[in-house]
Amino acid sequence: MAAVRRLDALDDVIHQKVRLGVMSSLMASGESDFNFLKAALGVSDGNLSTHLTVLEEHGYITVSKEFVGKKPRTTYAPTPLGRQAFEAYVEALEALVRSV
Amino acid sequence: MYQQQQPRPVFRVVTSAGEAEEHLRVIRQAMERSTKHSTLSGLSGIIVGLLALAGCLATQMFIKDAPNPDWKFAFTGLWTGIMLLCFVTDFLFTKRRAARVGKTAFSPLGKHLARAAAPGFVAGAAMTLFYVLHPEMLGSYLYGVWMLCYAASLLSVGMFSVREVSALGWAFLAAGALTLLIPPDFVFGPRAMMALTFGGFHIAYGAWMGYRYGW
Repeated sequence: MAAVRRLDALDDVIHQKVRLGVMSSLMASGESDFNFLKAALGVSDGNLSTHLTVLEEHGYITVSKEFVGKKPRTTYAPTPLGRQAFEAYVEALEALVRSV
Repeated sequence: MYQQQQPRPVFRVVTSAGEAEEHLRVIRQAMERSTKHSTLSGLSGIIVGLLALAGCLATQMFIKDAPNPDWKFAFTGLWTGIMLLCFVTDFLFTKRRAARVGKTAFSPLGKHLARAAAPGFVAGAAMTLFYVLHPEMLGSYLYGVWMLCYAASLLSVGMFSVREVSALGWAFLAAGALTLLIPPDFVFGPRAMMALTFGGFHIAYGAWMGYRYGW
């Protein structure tokens, strides 16, 4: 029962695999732009864009846009809330694996 | 006053241990891809190697029998200049490469790399200062010491980067140890080892990195 209660902590915003990949990547690198995330996770523009929007709406990532020369560049970084949620999520997963 | 409602996270209630393991694997894979993705430039390695070869040539032509105590300031000045040029080259090319792969040179990972590299460089600087103060005690062993210090930096950086960096670190470590152990009248001397390592190793590393990960 204890293991089942711990599952309640699994945040569904992060639980989706692409969003989990995005959060993991951003946690490791600190910040990345759209093209880097796309290459690192092997997903399409549309798919990645949808998941980034969900993470942004939940306040887990920040988005900054700038121009490098004439090209627009969008960079993503985890917020303190996102970091906290990610750490709690990993902790919950580890607890679940340990409990089996 | 209107206040935007922050969407509340939805919490998942049921999952399995197998799914948890799969998600931990996704996390590990994404983190590895993000930290191991190289922003190191192949072209930078080649230019740094060529600068080192130029330094060896200049030492051979203008500062005979270096590190000679009479030439200690010219010798350290020359190599400090070469090292600064290498730093600037590496920084500019890393910045250019980072922009190409969607990262910034000043990212938290970049700062980790700089922090990891620092102790080896500080040790090398301290030993160079020791050479300036007591040239007769260190002599041409300084070359081997530089290789070992640089190896320490590379091996630390290698923990956060692609395995080629660690391989280069081990090569410098072996070459540094060999340089300190070869007898004075051997067929090749410490300066030849300096050209082989800081020159040759860097050119070979740069060519491979450029071919494998991009220029």
